Amino acid sequence: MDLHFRGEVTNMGKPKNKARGARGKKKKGPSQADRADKHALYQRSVQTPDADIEFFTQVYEARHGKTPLIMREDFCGTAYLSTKWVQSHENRKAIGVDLDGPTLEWGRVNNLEPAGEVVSNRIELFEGNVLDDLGAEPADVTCALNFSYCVFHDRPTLLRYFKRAYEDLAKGGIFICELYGGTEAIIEYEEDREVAGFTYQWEQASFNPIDHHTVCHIHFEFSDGSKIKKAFTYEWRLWTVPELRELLAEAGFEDVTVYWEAVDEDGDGTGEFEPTECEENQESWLVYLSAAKP
Amino acid sequence: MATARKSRVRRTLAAQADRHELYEASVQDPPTEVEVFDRLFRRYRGRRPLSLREDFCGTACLAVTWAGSGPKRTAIGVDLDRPTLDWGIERHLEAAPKEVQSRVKLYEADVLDGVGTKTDLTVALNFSYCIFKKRDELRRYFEVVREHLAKDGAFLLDAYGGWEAMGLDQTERDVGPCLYQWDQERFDPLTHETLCHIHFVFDDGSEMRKAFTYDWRLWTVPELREVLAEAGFSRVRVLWEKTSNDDDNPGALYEPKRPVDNQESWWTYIFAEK
Repeated sequence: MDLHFRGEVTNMGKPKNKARGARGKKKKGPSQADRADKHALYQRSVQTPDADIEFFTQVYEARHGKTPLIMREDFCGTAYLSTKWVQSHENRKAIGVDLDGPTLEWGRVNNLEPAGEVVSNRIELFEGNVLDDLGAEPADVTCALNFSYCVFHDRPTLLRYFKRAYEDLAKGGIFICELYGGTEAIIEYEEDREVAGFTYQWEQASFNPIDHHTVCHIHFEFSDGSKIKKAFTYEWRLWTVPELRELLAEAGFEDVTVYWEAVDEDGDGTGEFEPTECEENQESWLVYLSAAKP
Repeated sequence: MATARKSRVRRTLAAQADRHELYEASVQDPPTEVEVFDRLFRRYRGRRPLSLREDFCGTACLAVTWAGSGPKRTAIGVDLDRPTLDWGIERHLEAAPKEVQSRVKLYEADVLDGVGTKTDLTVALNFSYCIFKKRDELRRYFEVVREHLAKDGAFLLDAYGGWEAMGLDQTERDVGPCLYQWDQERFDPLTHETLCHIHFVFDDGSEMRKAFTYDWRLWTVPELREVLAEAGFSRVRVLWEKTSNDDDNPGALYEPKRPVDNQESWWTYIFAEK
């Protein structure tokens, strides 16, 4: 049972639609959408911290022969990954950085505090800009997941971010980010996925081939028909793999590596990511990139 | 065997064909190009362009057409491949009036060398600049182009894209003497390197396979804009074609102020101003 999903039910009973009651119609309880918490839904539908932690550990261990201890989660949001990171090893520490105070606060209440002091004491959250020097401890691994760096629309700014990430890594540290692409990534597109208790909808509302700007939304839909439309909206530049490789190298990183998801004999993704040099394009793909600070 | 050999094998249409001739028939239309370039230059630079540089000119049919389009017009063509230039000299240059010939200069040279005088307009067409796979190389090329433009000159290049451009794809088109086939054999999303061929297929079933092969990096429009800006171009206009249902009369080129929708396949011009 997901702890975070239970947390949000505290909203229950808050009648949001007073107008309906006033008109004398049959009073309905709050819908599932009214009771839901978008951060909890997000964590459940798009985050897979255990797999991320396993992957980061593998990449770091392959290079250094020891496990990484300090992880920095840029664009950390609710710091779900940071919390899981610290829980995964007694000597692990995490640094989370996000611009949005309320989201960080949600994370403190719903992720850090329930994990107990022995965990939360090893997590430092910064409400700040990932482009700035926040004076954080150098990390063994820094990650920017869920394509969050795509908020940087121009090359000089993304380069500045990668340089900042480089600066804030310990010697030998590894930067990891993800990217999605494929022929379906550059069109208007909608996809539904069933998650226990609700439906997660990914909508690519627009993609402009002239600047690669894309506007995407996450909607949540519930079995009672209620919805949270545009729970999250992203205005991104969809970068390409060669652009990221070039930028990471320009920022000073070495051994920039792309990891592609392995497939089984039926062609289905296994969830295991392997280094690759060349691939055929697909309708849709997701890669990890790693880059090492010498 | 005692029986006499049958008469000589007839040469197939493919064996008789000339690949440069077919290429020109399939993908080039110099009179229209001259008209479009003239119109764009006047629109954005406010005067009539006189001198043209055709980089990667191949058979230089555009350069020769340009020089023939007005008594004050001059053209420079630059290409690495001697035999292709020679083909163009014989077919186009020597077939043109003497006074036109005198206004065309062809160089067997690398476009990075910046040979010849400065021009009003430089073009790099048919995605030929995609042979530069490294960003630094592409920027160096754009810098050389800019250095060799007149003060109010412009650089025009074409670009293609769309989701069909980023996969394996084969399209064909009837071009009169044969069927023109565009064959994307490879596209790697990790590098955007693409391997493409042009094949020609004839009525008698014969084929000229891989008449032309291109080993390119498919640059995206935002990348081109950024590299052009880094190379010093002050204004980069990405043009788009107005939607039209009439294949023979495609829509006018305009500079979109609002986002455009992606398509299966598109090509467009980029107009970069010095």
